[in-house]
Amino acid sequence: MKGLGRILTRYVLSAAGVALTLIFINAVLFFAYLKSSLDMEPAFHRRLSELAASVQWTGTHWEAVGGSTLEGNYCWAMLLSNDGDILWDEALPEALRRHYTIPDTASFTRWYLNDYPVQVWRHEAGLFVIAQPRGSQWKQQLLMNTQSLSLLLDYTLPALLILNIAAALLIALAFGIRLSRSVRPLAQGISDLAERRPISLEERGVLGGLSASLNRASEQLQWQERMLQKRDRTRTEWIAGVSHDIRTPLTLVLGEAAQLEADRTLDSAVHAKAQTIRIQGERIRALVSDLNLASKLEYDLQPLRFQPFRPAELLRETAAEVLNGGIAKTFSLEMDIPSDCEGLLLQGDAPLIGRAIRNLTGNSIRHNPQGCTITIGMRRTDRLCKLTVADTGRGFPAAVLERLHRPPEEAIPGHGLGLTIVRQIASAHGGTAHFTNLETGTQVILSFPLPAGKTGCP
Amino acid sequence: MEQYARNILTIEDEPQVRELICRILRDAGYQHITAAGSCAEARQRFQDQPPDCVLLDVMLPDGDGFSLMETLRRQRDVPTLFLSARDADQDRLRGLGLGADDYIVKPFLPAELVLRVGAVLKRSYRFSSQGSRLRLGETVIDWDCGTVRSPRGTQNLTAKELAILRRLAEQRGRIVTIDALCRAGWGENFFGYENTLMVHLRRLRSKIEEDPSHPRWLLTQRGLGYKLAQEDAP
Repeated sequence: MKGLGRILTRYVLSAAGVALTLIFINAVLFFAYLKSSLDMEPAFHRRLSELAASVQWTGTHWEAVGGSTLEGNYCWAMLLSNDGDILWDEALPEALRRHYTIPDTASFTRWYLNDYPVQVWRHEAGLFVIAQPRGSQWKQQLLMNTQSLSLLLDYTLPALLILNIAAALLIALAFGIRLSRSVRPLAQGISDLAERRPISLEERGVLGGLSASLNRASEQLQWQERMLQKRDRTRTEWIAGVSHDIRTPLTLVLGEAAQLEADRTLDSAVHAKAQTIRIQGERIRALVSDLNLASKLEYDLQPLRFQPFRPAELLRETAAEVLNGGIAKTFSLEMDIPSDCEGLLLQGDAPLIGRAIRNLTGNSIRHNPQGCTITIGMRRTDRLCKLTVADTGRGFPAAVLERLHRPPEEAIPGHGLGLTIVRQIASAHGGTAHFTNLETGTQVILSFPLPAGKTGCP
Repeated sequence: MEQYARNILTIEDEPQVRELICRILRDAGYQHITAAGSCAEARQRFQDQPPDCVLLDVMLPDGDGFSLMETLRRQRDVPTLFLSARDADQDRLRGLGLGADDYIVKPFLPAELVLRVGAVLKRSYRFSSQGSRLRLGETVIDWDCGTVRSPRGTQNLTAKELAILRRLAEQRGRIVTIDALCRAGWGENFFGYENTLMVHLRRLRSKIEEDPSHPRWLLTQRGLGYKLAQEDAP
């Protein structure tokens, strides 16, 4: 589940990224707004000071130089003397025509004058007061302890920021865990699918649709697998059936031919013919049996009986069988089993491995009619048990060798199923078969893996 | 009773193959051969003429050979050889300890059939069929007394020597592996007795051979095993 961990990390990181980006954007917007409003402030103040300055003493009375001070949304204005008397006014409502005491002035400067939001400016004659319509402005004083302010800026704000980021991360983590929980069965399903195991995922939740698709893919794969197996089995069964059907008539052919061959009352020409029939019959027998075994091994339908056995004993038994079966005088069979191999135990289907050895000796005999020396040997390394069959004959033809060196799934079983079977038997045991030509003759090495740490004597 | 006087029951549904088997056995010298083509017939024959050996086809029209063998064996334990035309049967035969004495795969050569039947008979009726004596030229081995009589005198054989010699005699003319000889002498846990076996064989040679350094009967197949030569061997 390495993939899921990565997804989760990414998820949390991207959430943190989103949080930081948002904070950054907010900060930028906030400072931009603050800056623009700060930029506005001096203009505002200048405007107010200009308005105040425009009210001037003409020698007889106070007058606004520009004619009116009420620009924009100002609705009235007045100039108060230092004593609180109205020196000048413009559009001043009747209710406000009175004398203003210091407390009055302090109050409206800070708050409102008869609910009019007013602004004041120092004037050479006293105080310039200008008002905006009722309810149009909001006035608020900001008063703060400098200690609290520094606390706020130095600790509270950063703490809040960190808290926010942490909250964002936690929420992202929670969501990520939830997501990965729901993804985990999917991931498991996909890896099961890759290993050809059937899967059945719950088709619920956000990823229900995906699960359903995976389930269907699995069903499809299983079906294909079954079809392939069925086809292989059918083919193998068909071959087994045909070979069974051939065997009964072949029994009669072989039996009768051999009896004719043994009949001393017949002349030698008949004997020779009977011998030909018998020899060819035996070849058909070998072919049928090879075909049957090869097809079973090819499709893994040969039941292997794994049991511990001593390869040294098997090699001797097989060699004795070959010799007892009778081989021409031009052949000799030698054993090469060092004493350190004697006690070695191997797990495997001994009769099948014996068959491989018999196929190899049979091959050496069949392809070297002039005769040769066949050596059946055995070697061991830490990890491998090697069974070898070598001869001093003509060697493998180049084409055969080329075919045997191809990867197993490519090799087309042409003629000479015997060697194909040897390779199949080796690989059915997790081993390999290596075919080479020596300076004179051939060498085939069957290597079987030894179980780790269990190579001792019985 | 002599080996060729044994009664062999052949159970095979294919008439031509059945007839061929009977002919092969008869030609080989067996005098009492009965045949059956089905399980029912086989049970009848088994009752009428109790056989000493049964040759049994795995596939029969009214049942399979495996269960027929069980039925027959319940009446009387008799050595049985299976005849099989299917690899699946061979797998079953070699995989399961069905108690069959051997199996022969079709198609077979007459010589193979005769050899297998002979071997099973010899093994099953060892003491009587092999006779109480083994002749090696002028030397005679008496199994019952465990002695070797030769023009040079009479010598006793030890139990191990007897067991080893008997194993070789069972397959006279054929190579018997070192492993098989050790198994005959020391049972299933025979591993490690190879050197001891050689000592026994050397002693055996000194008792049965005229010139132990140039053996005439007990021949060595280097690295493989030993062979007890046939009477007519050069």
